[in-house]
Amino acid sequence: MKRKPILIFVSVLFLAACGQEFLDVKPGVRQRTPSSWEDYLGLLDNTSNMNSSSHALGMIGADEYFITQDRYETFPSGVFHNYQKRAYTWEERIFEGNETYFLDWNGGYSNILWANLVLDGVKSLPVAEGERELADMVKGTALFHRAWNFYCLAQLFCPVYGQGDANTQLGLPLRLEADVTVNVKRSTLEATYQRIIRDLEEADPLLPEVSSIQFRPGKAAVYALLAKTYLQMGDYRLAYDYADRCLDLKRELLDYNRIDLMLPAPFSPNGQDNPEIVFFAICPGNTTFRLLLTSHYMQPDTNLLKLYGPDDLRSRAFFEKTATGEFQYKGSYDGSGIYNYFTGLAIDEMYLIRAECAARLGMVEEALNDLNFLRKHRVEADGYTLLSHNDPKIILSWILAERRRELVLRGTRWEDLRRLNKEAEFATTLVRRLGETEVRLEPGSVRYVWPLPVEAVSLGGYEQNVR
Amino acid sequence: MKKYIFSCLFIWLVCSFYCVVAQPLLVGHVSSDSGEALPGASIRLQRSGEVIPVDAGGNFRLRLPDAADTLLVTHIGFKAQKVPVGPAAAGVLNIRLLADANTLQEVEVNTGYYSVPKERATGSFTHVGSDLLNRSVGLNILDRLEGVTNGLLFDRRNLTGENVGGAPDLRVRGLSTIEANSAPLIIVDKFPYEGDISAINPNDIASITVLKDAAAASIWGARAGNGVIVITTKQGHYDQPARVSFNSNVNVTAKPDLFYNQGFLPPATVMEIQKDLFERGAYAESDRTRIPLYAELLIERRDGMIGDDEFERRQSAMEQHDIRRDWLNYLARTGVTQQYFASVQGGGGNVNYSISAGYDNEQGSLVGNGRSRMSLGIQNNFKVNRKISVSGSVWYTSDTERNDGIPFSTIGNALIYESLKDESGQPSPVNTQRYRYAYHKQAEAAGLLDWMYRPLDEVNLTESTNRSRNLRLNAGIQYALLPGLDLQANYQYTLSNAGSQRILDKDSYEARDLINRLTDMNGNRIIPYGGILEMGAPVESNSHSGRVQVNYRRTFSQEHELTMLAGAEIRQFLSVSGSGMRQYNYNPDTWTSNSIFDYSTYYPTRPSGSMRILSGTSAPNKTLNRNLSYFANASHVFREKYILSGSIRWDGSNLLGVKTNQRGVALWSMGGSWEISKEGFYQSGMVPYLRLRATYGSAGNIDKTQSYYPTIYAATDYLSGLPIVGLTSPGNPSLRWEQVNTINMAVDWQTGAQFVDGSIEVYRKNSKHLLGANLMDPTTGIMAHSGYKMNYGDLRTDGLDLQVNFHPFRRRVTWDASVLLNFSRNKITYLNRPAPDYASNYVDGNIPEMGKSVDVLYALPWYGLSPENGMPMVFVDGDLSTQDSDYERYLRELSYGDLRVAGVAVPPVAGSLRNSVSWKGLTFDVLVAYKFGHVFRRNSIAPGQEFMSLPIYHTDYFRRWQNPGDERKTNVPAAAPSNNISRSEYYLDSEALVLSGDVIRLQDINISYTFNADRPVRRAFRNVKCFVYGRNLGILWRANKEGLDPDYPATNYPAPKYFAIGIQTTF
Repeated sequence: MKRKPILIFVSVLFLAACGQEFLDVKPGVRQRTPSSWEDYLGLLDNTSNMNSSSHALGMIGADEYFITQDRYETFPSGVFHNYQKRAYTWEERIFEGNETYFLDWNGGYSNILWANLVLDGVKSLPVAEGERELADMVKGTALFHRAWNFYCLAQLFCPVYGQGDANTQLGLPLRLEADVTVNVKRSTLEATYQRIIRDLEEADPLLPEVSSIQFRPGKAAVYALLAKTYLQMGDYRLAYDYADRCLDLKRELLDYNRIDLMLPAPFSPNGQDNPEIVFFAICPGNTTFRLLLTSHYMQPDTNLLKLYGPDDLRSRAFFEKTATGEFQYKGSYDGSGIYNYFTGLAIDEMYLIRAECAARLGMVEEALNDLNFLRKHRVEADGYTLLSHNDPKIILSWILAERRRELVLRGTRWEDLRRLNKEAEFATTLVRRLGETEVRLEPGSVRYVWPLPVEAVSLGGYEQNVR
Repeated sequence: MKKYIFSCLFIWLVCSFYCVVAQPLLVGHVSSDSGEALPGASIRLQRSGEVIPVDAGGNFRLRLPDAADTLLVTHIGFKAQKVPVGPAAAGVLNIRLLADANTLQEVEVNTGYYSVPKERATGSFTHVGSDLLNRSVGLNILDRLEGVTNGLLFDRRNLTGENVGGAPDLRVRGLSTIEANSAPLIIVDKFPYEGDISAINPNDIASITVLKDAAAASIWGARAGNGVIVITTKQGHYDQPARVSFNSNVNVTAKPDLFYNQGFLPPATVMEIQKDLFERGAYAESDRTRIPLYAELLIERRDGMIGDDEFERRQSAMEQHDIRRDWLNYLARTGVTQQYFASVQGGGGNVNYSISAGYDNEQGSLVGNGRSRMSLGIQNNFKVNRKISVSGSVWYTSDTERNDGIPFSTIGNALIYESLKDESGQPSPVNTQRYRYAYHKQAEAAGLLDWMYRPLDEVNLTESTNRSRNLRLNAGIQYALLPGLDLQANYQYTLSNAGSQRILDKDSYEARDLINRLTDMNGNRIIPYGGILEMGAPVESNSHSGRVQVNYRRTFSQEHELTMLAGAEIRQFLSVSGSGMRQYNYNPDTWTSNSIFDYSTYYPTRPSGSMRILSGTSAPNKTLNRNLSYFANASHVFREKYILSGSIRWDGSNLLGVKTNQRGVALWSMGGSWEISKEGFYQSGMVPYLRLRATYGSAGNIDKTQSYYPTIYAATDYLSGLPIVGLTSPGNPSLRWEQVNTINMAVDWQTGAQFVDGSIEVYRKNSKHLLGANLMDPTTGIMAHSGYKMNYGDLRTDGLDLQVNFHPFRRRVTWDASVLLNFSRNKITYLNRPAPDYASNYVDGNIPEMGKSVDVLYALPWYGLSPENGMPMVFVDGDLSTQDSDYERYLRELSYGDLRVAGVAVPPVAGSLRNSVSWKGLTFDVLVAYKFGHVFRRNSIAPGQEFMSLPIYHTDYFRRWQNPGDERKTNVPAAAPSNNISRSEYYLDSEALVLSGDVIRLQDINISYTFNADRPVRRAFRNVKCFVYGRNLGILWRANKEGLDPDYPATNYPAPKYFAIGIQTTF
């Protein structure tokens, strides 16, 4: 009499037992939990994240462009637009909360999370035979990305290195693990730069010399970033050395004489086949978040345009004249679109760093060689003359002017303004004119350090930058 | 022979199970006079007092009594019947109960697992029968529930722009989640419905049951947290002569009411604004920047390209034009929908069937839009023998949509002075091209193709179709194992195919634009001058669902009736999407095209930039969802007046990246009811029927996007072409599933003479562990709004559902009135989420706050306009100010406590009043719906917003403050030469723009005439009914004085009126 219910019970149990296997199947073929070196490499190869850099605030704040009052007033309002307007005039507070992903801070730390996910995940991942090279590359790439993002963020949200006591000044929160529930306080400026250097030094032996893909870093990218870091820190000897080591691995420059500069976009899209590119990155492609930097509003700074001589091919490569006689920026090393600003690492900058450091270290000849070598590739062959001088100071000023001409809208101008303002002879006061009103940014101003996003301060509890 | 084996088996089973001596058996069947089985009937032997159980098919069997006895067969809604039985009476007894017009109408509620007379259910159900469903004529079955379904609210805040006909959000008894999907689960017949609801022809639907409380819904477990809507299709009945019915109607939809929208300014005003901007030099005159046509005209005059006369002539032509009229004349039309439906239903002693076919054809309100749907359904039920019955059904729908219409938003309010036809009546270009009008205009002269966009041409130059086909097969077998015990197995297979196709003529703007952009500096075309054929990624999905279920029903010692069911269900849903394609140089006559292009190279584009040729293929994908559930449900009726019920269910699914024990969740419910009116002490002639019900239980809500471990998805990088992965979730080690506990208490009553009946139910839903996008510190690498969720809150929803039906006349004139009143409010009772820094973020940030409703609408306090300059005043340093810089400061210093809680955006009180008056076959049925207690924010224009590069226009422009004293008449601030971000934000977020949403609308009217069946002329017809129907007929009363429809707060215009005329016949 009791048999039937038992049978049913048994069959239900059987169903239950096979049930777990039935549910073991993955819901989506494309989805999984990361488990292999390829999976982790895949995260780092995701260009829409890892090759987007945090440069927008620096570009908005620098003096490479201007906006007339009338256009400024037609700029739309809304939470994603308002901070750009406020950043243009270096207001004390620029964020109002609810700005999202594409903010420099948010995007940078998102990349850092991905790098940390890789570094945490591969800790316990066995290296099978033949995987050594891959495993090293994955770790080295993740370390490079962490350092690169810390570097970019430090240029926006930390004080200038060497203008105060780096051991007491505020640095970045150095997030070194992926666990999102862990809160990390802001470190010191010294610790931030030391972390950048340490990650890069650890990445160095793990990476191939030059990556065959411009989106992945190789040793050359590590040295290039170290050169930039030491230049910021004022260590010209090491900056020289690393620029030199980078140029040992990669030295070919594009000759602008051989490029059709009348094309709307003279340079290849995404830096493809561009020999100068060491590591490709752009300021994120969503124009909403840097709408201010589009030709609807901005016009190139007239002082910048005046720097180009008549034979300088770069004025044609980077700018065009519209029907009304206005100048318009038309893009640089990412030719895929005029508003895709290349902000990565390239060897033209390495020549300039090596030249500048040489000049500062008194190596006149080396400095002139690099400067002339670069100019030779940038100036019309007919009009090219060899520059020569004995005074390293003069040469240095030439090189700094050359930096402005060469590195247009690449995010470097903000970094240069910050570090050069420490030297009285190169200090610059920036001025914004909107009708009658005039706003100035004095050298060494606390406004050279951008405020942290509202959510970071209120939720992460970080100390806000004093502006 | 077969019969013999089965009866042997049956007898053997009876012996083994009950250990009783076999006695002669009487088998019988209870049905209504229309042949419908009545499983809810109650049968009792009067002398012995034994209660005889009736199974789900209306069958019963009893041992013949030793002495003569009488069976008393009762069923609510039917007249009781007495059938004498004696020891000698053997064979089959068919009992047909006659409907009793004087009692409550019998309603069987269907949960998808079982049907139960509403009177025996403890839970909360809303049953919508075919009469109510057929009152309205919409193509979508869910739309027909509006206004007639107790406890179901249609929330149209999700509809924006011109999408007035889109699917609204449905709320069954308010909310039970904060951020997760709040849509109710939809069941068709026995299984969850995964497809598009519009694939179901409403004419095939017999009834809909909405499961509202835990006792009703928890049988559906982890997905039932938001309520369940069970759709039941029409079935054939045994012993019913064939009935052929035919329905048809034509429905006419008015053109959209563009002039309702206040987001416009008249042409002359727009031109004035643009002239102002032009004079200020605000237009960057470059090829890449689009400039308004009027500004182009001003430039032409400035540059001496046209004289003053020509300028004046063109200017005045512009001033007199309104492109809205052009659009309404040439691109909009009256929508016409035709519906045809035929069905045959019938059955013999052992078989019944239902066959239906439908065809619907819609001519959309936009020229170029349309839809046609064909549906077919075949259902069969067989009784193999007394014990085994099998059923099978096939449903097929084919749906084709044309979407070539040009919505008004493509043209936009900035082009108001432009025209769609030029002076000679030819299609005219409008200024919506990619770049500057002048740049496009000189294209042909520069050797390119014509580069202008002419909407009137475009509508004929594209052919966009979406097709979907859906097949649904059901099979079931029911085996009566023992008296009272039967086994049931059901299986469903669904298959659906969807695809889209777009043919762009070589002269369509999209094709010309692409060809021109990719024409190099020497005039060589990278893409040949030809059409484009685009096939969207086809999606094919199928599902298998199977269920085994044991039903048991038995009566013990005459007073106890036990009904139990238990079973398991297994489901798999597979969806495969293909990759689609795009062919260039397509010739529609020969179907020849090219697809060999270099898709990886970036080509320079005109006038600047570069692009790759779009290959039109997308990465194929495959998803597989699996679910496994065990369930059990029992109810115990004692003395026909006490009912105790309970259910339990475990649900598991193949979630990715969760711990094994997180794959499933167990949920339960219990309930009871007490029919007081059956008690001996209860003596009330006023209220002869009175019942109390109470239930408690839990249901759930699983969010498939969340995981415990980090999860990734594979993709191909769009720049490098390398295999990459993206991060789906960084993992959440504290993840739990949402759970909703519901308590429900109800009273059902009926007064004497059936004058008034109804029910009142109160409920409370406590939702726990609700998942929401926690405001994250972006330094963690996770952004707000990134989809990363944490269990951050609890929510409590309280409410009341009242339904009262009046039947004041029941003689020559019948008058029935039905009142629905639904009240629901929710409150966040626990929230672990940091507050945003700036209080002004609450105003439009949808930010939950402890102690407040999820639907709360905040506003900034309004201090009026300054009598001096007409600017909004803000409170700074204890003083009212209109200083430009003080607005920013005011917003920055604002605290949460300063905000005004303007109200809730979803009506806490909603309901309807339906009156139906009939006289001799003529029925007049009117539905008035009302919503009260909510607010909405209207649009306006802040100072200077008309001068922004993406301008905002609004008719409030003319209500702006102009002179001192105006502040007493208007809240619209004065004009300003430019936009101040903070001042605009303050005004637009202020209380001044929040209006009461209270509204009473005439939702629809249905007038029908039924020709009497006994008229000799119409003998061939059993029933002929003609009707006229009108919907969205207008607002009877609204609290706001702006003429706005609060049910459509975000659309450009309210749903257009529509009228239908139709006929329903049964032969």
